[in-house]
Amino acid sequence: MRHSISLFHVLILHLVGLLFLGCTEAYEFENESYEDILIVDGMVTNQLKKHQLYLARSYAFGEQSSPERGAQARLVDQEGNAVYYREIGDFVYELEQPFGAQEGKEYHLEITTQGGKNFHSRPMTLPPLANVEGLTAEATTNDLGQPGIRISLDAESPSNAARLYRLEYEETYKVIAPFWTPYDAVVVFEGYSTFETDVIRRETEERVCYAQNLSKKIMLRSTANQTLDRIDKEEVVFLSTQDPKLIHRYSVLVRLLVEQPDTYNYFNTLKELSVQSANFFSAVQPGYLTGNLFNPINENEKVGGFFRVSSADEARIFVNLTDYYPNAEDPPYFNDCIKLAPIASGTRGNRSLLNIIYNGWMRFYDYNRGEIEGGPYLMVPASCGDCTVLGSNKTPAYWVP
Amino acid sequence: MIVECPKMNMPRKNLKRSFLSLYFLYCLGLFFTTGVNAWAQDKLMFGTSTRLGLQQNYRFEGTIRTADGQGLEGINLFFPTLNKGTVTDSRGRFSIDLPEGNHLLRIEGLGFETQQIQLGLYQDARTSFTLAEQAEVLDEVVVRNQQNENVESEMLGKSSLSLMETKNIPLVLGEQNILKAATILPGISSAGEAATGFNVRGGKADQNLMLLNEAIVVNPNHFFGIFQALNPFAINRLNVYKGNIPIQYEGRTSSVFELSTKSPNQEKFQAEVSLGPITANALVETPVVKNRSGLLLGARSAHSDWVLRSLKDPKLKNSSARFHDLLIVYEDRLTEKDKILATAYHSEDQFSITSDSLYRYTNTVAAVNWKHQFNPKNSASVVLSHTDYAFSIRYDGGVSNNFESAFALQIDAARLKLNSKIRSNHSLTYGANLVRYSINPGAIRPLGSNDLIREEKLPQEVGVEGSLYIADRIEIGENFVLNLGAQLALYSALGPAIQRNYLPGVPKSDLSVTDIQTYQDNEGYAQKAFPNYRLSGRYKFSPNTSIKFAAISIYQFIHSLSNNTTASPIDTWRISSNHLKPQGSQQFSIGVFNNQPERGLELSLEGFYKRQENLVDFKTGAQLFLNEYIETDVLQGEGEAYGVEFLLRKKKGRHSGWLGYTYARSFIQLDSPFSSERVNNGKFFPTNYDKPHDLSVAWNYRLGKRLSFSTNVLYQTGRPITLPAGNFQFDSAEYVLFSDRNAYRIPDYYRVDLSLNYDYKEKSTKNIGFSWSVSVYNVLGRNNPFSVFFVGEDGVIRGRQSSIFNVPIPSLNLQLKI
Repeated sequence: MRHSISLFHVLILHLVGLLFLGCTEAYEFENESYEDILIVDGMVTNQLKKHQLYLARSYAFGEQSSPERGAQARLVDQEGNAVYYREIGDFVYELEQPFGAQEGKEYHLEITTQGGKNFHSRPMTLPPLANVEGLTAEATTNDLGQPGIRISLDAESPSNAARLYRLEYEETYKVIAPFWTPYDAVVVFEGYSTFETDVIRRETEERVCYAQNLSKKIMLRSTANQTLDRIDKEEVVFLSTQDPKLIHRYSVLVRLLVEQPDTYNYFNTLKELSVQSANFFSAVQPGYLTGNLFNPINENEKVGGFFRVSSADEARIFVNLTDYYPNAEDPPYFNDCIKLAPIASGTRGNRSLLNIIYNGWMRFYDYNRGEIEGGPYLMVPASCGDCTVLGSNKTPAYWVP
Repeated sequence: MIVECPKMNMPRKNLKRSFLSLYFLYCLGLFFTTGVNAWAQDKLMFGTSTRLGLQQNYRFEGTIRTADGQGLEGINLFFPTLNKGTVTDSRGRFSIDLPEGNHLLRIEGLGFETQQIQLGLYQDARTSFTLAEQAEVLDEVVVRNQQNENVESEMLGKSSLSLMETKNIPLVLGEQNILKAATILPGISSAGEAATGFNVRGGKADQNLMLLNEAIVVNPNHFFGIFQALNPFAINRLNVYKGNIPIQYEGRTSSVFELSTKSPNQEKFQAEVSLGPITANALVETPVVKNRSGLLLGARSAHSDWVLRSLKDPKLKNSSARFHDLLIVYEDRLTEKDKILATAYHSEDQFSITSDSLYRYTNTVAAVNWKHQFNPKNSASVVLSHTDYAFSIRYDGGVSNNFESAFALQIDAARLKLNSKIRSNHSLTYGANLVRYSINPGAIRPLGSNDLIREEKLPQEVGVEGSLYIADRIEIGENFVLNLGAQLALYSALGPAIQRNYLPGVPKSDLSVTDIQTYQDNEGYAQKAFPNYRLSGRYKFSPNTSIKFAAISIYQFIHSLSNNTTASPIDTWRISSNHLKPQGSQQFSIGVFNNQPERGLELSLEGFYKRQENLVDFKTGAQLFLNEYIETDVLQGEGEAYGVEFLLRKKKGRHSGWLGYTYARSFIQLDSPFSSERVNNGKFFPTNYDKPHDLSVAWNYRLGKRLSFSTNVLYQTGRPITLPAGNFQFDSAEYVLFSDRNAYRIPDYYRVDLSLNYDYKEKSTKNIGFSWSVSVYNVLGRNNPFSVFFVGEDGVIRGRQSSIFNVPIPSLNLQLKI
């Protein structure tokens, strides 16, 4: 045994090469996992009208939704009375006659696809009613400190039992094309070596339009933890003073829907799933979201979407920016309205001006009197010279000037 | 936020394939070679053979040392005629009860000359042996041989690793990681590349009881598990119980990871220092009272920030990763019959993946373990421990949504274990445990007055778990051992607490609350008793072949909330309550074991079937953090797992190492009358950690006296994942349609590591030594995903996979012994 050495040292040295941390790369999955299923999006309310039903297919990423055509659909109540839907266009089916659901009654939807598959919804009961007391618009700032107009809702449920709410809105705003002229450029003929363009009078109203925009956000509100079943000053829309929707006159229709717990939960989950986070520690559990539709013969068959029976009430408000900000400047227009003079020369099929006229990307503004180098006409982006790109040229029935 | 992986444009695919196949053939072909051991024989006599008639048992104890007086760990003392044996502890001590008489004793240890001794034992005896090092110092994967342990022991489903064994496993970033090495054993898999959790026999990552010197550690990992959070110089041994969990442990349903530190040197001062670009480590041992008590101090820290800063990528430049850990162990042999082991441990991690968020987590553990021997037949051990785990997230990159959030878990445990030997073939183990869990499930506060985050703090949760147990080990005849155990687990959650009552017959949600129940200070609720059983046995067909079986049941009262991605350091835990039910598990296993000592081979084949109840999972769209009423998002269902595990270990010769293959499946069922609580239509589906095929090879080849080559090869089926399956239009907006839960799998995992090791020792003094090893982690540069997630980019959902090491990582390790 050696006692002379009382110290025992070990020294270790490491040297490490490269170090890469937390890098990411594309993960390809689209082709293997795409599923084609029927998506049902339908609602009936207590409002007496021809309620609509949307039938579509799910689609692969980067592609477009395709309609489910030729299906038979009917709404059946608990006594077995049925009202039928009629296909009125791509995706859209509409009840053949006006219908309003009655409180406390059960309804379900039955669909037979062109391929002969049956889908039913679980029975849904009309929830208690709630009333919109009014909409308020006020000048205020948002979370980021930007000035604007907040539109909020007050509502209450007389029965004190509605509790679960969902809000939808439809915005309508007047659009005046800033570079509209009564004239339009057309191609008279185009040959291999020659062509002819002309300027003519426009035949349709393309200066003043009314654009519409539907709410895309899921807005849910529960009063379950309140003693009183009422909603005070619930923000529906915030419009910044820079929002082009406020250039002329703006209106919004807010629809207050009372939902059943299942419907509310479905929307709530859908909302949480749609929050995508680029995070190492993602906090939401993804998965297939089951709605209230099923195939009665094969419960394993997937069918997406939800059929809801909801109590509805609605209110509309009109807003002018200057009523709230008298000194405000007009907000910028929807697009940059840059004038260009596309050249007309070239071989057949390669003449820029002609191609632009054909496909309607730009509209005639004026003759090019040497202002800009290029072709014979000054052209502006379509939305700057033609309001129908953004909306409809028919004044809506509800519009109050 | 997202850092692109560097591209490697090499036509590697074919190269990889041919390399892999050649390599496998080579490994398999060379596996079966044997080595030779030298022999010597001596005689030793204690007392005289005077009495006739009844044979008595005597205690034979002592120490085994090297020529220079160092205690030798892991040396086998084997009595072939008795078919009995023992192994020395970390200080070289051993102790065994033997019948009186003359016995042949064989002392074996890798790297040492084998000694054969004729032992005459006629009284209690104490002695010491000195082993001479073999002329040729082996440097190989020393799979420490507790001679025939795998055939003899009735512990089915136990895997052991010592630091020595992991010594030649190729390193990553220059440090040994015994926890990572454990995932090379069959039945144990990591949740993913660089993920912190382990999945044992189809179990969840939260179902493993991690113990450090008998104290519970919640997250023994630094930095995504790349480094173990325990000082590699100090950790001596890891036992993993995956089948027959010893009766004194309860509270986790899948496994027990028993980590033990080495005992401090009680003879002389000793120091170890290690330096690298990422970590620096120092360990000091010193006797306090010579040959009675010793102290061990370990400190380690990582200083990788400068490495990250020196990188060109601006995104990586701003990331940061630091950690440190401290360990103090004090051991005192108070008397011949009393031993105290005190352990204190602290670890801290800080990392930020982006410059605006900082994650931090800490482990703090303190434990005292007192062992007392009443007489040769009765002994007791008492363990008192305190565990603290906490994490926080600080986000400071938003305009008005900056916050700091936090979580904390405390566990206090007291364990009493008694052993009584009633007859020579009959011994009892009995005792009691008391564990108290205290959880602060989540808090969030805004960072500044501009931040619109609402301050919130979920109320503290407290739960107490007690258990009483008794087990009887009976030897029936020569070859049959039976172990019968019963345990009663008692659980109660403690107030102050608020528990909701929900309307029966509808899904639990904020909307179906009927009333709220309030519990006063220390008022119990969710109380229940859970009887458990342990039944195991071993039958030996021959000295080298045995069959074993085990059936166990076990309950778990705390649950981590981790969604379907990987286990992470920021998983929160919750206690069982009126609504969150305890998880239960029953496992049945059977195994055949065979040793071929002449060839140094150990073979085993084990099969298991596991049934679990109240496995915790989540509703689609569930939010897990800061969810006070987690029951509205939790789903509990039945689980089923089964599998077979094959292990071939070779312990002697130029070639050594092991080859393990596991085929195992793991399923869960989440069914309910309500569609929102049903997953995949209420059918059994693969769990997040269902990885059917798992092949691992750890192999060492001695090239010469001092040079050896070692490698790991790992292959695992990719884990299941839920994928976006397209888009759909609904209510005038576009949404993502997801597939069924876990309907797809991420790419398979595979990895090859290599290392070349050189060890030199000055022969005359044996005290000057020099060694180096060059290792390359992930030689093939395989990009094994750490996680797969989806982001919306320009209105299109794109899949992203993140990985930690997607290139080969070389490292060099130099060791100098003075």
